[in-house]
Amino acid sequence: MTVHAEGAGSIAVGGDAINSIFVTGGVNQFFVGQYERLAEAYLSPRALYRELRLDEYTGRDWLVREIDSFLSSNDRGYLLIEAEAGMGKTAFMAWIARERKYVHHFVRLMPDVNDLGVALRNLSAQLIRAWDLRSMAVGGVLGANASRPDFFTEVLYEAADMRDATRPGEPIVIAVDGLNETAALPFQNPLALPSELPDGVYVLATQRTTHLPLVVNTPRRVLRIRPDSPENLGDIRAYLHRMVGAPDLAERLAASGAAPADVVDRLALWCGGVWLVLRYVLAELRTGARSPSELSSLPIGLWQYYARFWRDWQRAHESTWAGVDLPLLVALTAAQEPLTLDLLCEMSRCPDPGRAADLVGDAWRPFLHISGEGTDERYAAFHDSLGEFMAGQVDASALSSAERFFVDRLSVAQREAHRRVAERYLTAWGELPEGLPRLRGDAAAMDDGYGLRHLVHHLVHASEDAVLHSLMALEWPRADAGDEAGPSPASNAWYEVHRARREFAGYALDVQRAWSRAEQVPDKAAAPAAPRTVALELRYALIASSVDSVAGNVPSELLLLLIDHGMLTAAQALELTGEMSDARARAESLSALVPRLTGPAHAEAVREALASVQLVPDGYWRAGELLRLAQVAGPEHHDDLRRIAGGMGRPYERDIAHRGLDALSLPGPVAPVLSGDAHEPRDPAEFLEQYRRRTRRGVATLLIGLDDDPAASGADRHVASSGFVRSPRWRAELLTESARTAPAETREAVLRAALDISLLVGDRQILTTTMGSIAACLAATGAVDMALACASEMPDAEGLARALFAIAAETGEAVRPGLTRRALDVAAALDDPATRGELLRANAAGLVPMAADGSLAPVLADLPGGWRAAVLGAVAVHDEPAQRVRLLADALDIALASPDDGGAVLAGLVAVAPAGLLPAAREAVAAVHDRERHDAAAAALAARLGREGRAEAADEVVGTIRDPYWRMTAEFGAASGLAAAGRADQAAELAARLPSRHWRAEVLASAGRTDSAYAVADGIAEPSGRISALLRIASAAPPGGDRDGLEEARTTLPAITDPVTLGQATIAVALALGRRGRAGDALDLVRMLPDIERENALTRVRPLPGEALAVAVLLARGLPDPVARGRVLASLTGPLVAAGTFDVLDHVRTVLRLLATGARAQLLEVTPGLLPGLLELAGPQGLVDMAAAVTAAYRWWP
Amino acid sequence: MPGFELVVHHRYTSGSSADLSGHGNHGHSATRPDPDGMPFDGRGSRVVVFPSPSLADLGGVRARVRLRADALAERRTLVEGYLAFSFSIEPDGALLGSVYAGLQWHVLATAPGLVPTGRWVDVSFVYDGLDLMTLSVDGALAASREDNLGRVGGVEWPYGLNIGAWPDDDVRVFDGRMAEVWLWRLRR
Repeated sequence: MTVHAEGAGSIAVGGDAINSIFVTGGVNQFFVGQYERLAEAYLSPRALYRELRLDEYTGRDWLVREIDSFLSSNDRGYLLIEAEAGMGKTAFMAWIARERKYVHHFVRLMPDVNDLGVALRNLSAQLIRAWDLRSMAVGGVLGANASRPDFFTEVLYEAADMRDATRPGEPIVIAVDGLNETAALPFQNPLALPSELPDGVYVLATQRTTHLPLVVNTPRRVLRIRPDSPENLGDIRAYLHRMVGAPDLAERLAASGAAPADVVDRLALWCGGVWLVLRYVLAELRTGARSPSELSSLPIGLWQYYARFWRDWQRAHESTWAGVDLPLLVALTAAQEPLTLDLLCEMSRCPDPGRAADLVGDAWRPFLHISGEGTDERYAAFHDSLGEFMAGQVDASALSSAERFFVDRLSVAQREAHRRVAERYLTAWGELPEGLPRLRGDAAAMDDGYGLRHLVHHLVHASEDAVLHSLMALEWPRADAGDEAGPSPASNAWYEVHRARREFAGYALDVQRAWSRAEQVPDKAAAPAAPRTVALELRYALIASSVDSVAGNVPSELLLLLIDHGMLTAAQALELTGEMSDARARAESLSALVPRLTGPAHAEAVREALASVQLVPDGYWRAGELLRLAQVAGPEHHDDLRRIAGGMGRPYERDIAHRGLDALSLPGPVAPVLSGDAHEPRDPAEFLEQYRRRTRRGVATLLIGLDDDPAASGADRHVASSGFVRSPRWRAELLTESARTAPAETREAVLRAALDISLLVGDRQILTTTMGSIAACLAATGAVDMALACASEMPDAEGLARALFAIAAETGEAVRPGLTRRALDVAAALDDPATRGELLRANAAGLVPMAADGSLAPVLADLPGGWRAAVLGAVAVHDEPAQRVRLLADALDIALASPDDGGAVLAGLVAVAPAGLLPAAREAVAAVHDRERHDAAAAALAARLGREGRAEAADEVVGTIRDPYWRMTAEFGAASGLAAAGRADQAAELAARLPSRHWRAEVLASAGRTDSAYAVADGIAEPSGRISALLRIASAAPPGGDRDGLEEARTTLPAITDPVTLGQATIAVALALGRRGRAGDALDLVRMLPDIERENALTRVRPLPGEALAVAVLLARGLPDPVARGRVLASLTGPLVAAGTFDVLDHVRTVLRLLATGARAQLLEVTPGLLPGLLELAGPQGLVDMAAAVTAAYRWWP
Repeated sequence: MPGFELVVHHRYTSGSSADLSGHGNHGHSATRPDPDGMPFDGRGSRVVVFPSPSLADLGGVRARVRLRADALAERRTLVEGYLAFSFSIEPDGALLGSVYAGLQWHVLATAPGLVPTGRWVDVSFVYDGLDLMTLSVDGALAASREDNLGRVGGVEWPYGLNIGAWPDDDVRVFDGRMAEVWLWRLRR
């Protein structure tokens, strides 16, 4: 818990999280600290060593032998030492780390045990120092990305390489104490420890006997220290013998007349193998607080010891217990950082600071860890077990009923302590119901920022869930005084106050804490009346992914222009680059910034750019960014760049990077790079020039001048001219480029617009779709009012119209016409005729009554002819037969009368024309002048005539088609139609003309000529082509007879040698097997696919009955990419709910956790798939809450 | 039988690069077309169509171009959807179509010399979203390939749909004129 500052090598880093900036990337969110010298990143354990009295360390030889055995018998791996609280794990790790100079990390030294960046920087700093990995810390300083797991992994491998080069055979051991004390981010190991280790690298870690989500792909062994094992008891006896011989204790024993050997026997027996209690009791004996004669009355075990000690304390100090001692004790154990006595007294509302000082300075000393000096002396519990005891987290079976009652009261007191601390800050900030107005000011930083860092923790432990979730959802309107204008209509208050202080890490941790709390609501079976929180969980998933999504859109050139115009300082620009999640974008921005910076900022930017280049995925992009940086970094950094180049995997990129560096540093021409690919530049200058055109700015230059609007003027002209680019990121890039040519008086406005646009998430369309799906789902459950309320939250009229149509489609006859009419009214007012037409065509089924009563006519009249005909044709399909003919006839007339666009929809009309309208359809098709539209319509007509059995007429129509593809399509359609009409001979005759053999095979199979069909397939030598034909045969002819096309397709797969072709063919066969009801066989094939194709197949193989569904879930869980895993699992939600045998809550939670690691758009895209699960778990109100969560996230991060 | 839906239609001879398909996929270009079509200079010309809902998840594609090539010399892009499909002319006058599926391009090419220079031709490329690719020139089938390649994805940022140039860079730029360009996706 305590971090000491002792000399240059051990400067405490407790404040680095405060200045952290937010970086996201890959799978998880990581938090980046300010630049630190290696020494500053190191968490020195010296103070801990003193507290642990390592000079008294005794025993554990057997444990050391086990460790050495593991190291000698495995080439790498994880060795976990597992034991209960108080068994001396930390003391052992401290001793072995000190003795053997192992790289070490003690979780208890972390200011915030969840801030894994602190741990990774600590370990990286030691490895870099120990193995002289200068390229990993240019100038002896860690880059900002040293908090990322991928950086630590990189350091590990570099260290292993250096070891192999300099001291081969020497194991690199990383000692980590207290692995269970830190929370693992979803889908990561605790402290983000890597699953794989380089050769000769070992992790030695201690943990309690609890389940840890540690996934490793290396040898792993668990050593258990059992309290009653002979080895442990032997160590304890040896230790006690040493202690009773020490002068201070020996003197006490002698004075009391106790025989040292008796004391050893009694204590060894009494402690039950638990070391921690010996610390306490020996301290009591040393100070005289306990007499040796009282040893026989000591309770057995740690929890019993605490219970006895504090009950005795209460009895002995009745007068001060309730007012001073207990509040101070629970405040001490509730606090999340070592605190000064003054602050502890304030938090515990202690009326007697003098007594408090006496307690922490004397009687409670053995239970405390004291750091700092003088007025800055700070106090925390020595061992976590004391806090656990106060919170009631004990093995109750070991306690008497009276002791259990006592512990219960303590835990109530501690919960009250948490509540008091939370209340202290909420009151100071102006109360939550009032919107915490003072949180905007200096009050936010009171107590050195303790409240901002730990309020959420205290609310969680006070069980103040309602307050917690209200805090996380508190909204500050942008219009509030003093708030700068921004692109969002409102801000999330807790995010805003952290953002203003660059404390993104703390905010993200709070989101995780609140989210975890929401997940702790018991499941429905256990507590049917418990509130359903799944929508709340979705809110936190949306917050996490929203924050991720806004980071890093700011164009690098925009940063430069903002600096040039005095709108941003260089330091602020540098800080903004730290928010960029994508290493390539970060490297691009930093390299652009470097020439504008001087002094320390310049050095800092170069260091971070070097680190970012290392994190760019190996290959073309890393080489490009490396050479871009080389142009601006200065020759003193070329060695670092050469080290990075030397580590690149592909020879071409490695060579071009080296040659590029040669060109900068060596006189004379540079030899070209050899490459087998003609498209790869051989000259580094040419490579760099090509690469520059592929940077984000390079892409933006391709957009310049594409759509200038001369009618507009001023800044508006630039903004309007960029409107055709819908992606915020790329529109910001374009605006930035156009700002260069903007008149001086408008340039700042253009730049400001570019900055605002770059801070948008830009997923409005997906939001609209999601809201529409929620509304439709609500309507389907009968909650029409809720559905309409949800639809009313739509941000635009198009979204509202879509939602209203969707709601109407899900309602009963009584209300559907009214809702459809309302949707029609909204749709009719939309500006874009194509959007109107598409909406009406897609919702034609509901428009049948409006077509009948004439109310549709005026809306259709405002549509272009093509759309009018398309909508009428679509309505006709859903109408009664008599009306259908009339409507289709009208549609054909309209199409005929609309030469510009009527032909475009003719194919669709012809395909559904009843027999009686075919003459009119032929006439209409013949009248189309546009060859393309004619051919498409004629192909549809030929197929339609085939279905009528009119071979000659179909053939005549085919003869009018010029385009070869449409002719093929027409012949195939006509032949298939004839086969369906029972005209097998004519179908076979027409099939013989088809150039495509698999189409021919399908027609023959449809016509019942399966032998001929198989003969066609057998004639195809190339296996993937044969599989195509066999699948078409299988789809056209039911299984039976001698041959099964589907089975033959399956057994032909191994004949494909090209892996990519094999993957695609395998998916095709698997999907066909699924459709045939052979989901098990389909999934057997899916199992063999590469990851990305497995994901693709798993979302499409349907149906998935019974066991197949369980297999699909297992396969989905095996996908390595978490977003892909989440996407597939989400797609399985409907079948899982329908099966009724799966834990839906667990499933939905897993999906949310997975998708929150990606962009918000990715989460929103799969949300409709999750609706059956959400409905099952939380009912209609859950969906309403979910809609509110979606719109809130959009308000805060549009 | 797959059904295709027209999602891009530019008739440059009308003097505009507006989309006639009704999907709003207008072309953006620094060059203005004229009655003789859209000029491409072989160096930096291009028409860009940005990603849009109608260009997402194409499934299959049918692309058709009426063009007059002035010079070949290197690969000339006709239409390319970033990480979806490409349609181009090879230096030897072969027509080439490809789709991106399973993280790899799958190519179909005609024999050399099918695309002449100096006269108007009508070329098309089809992938049916299932198992058939075809190339044709002036109404004659020039090549076909039967392979289960699966669905084609959507046209993505940052480059979108590019007509007359390689999306990534000012290379493989068409040299000549295009009168009309069509693109269909598989009907949803």
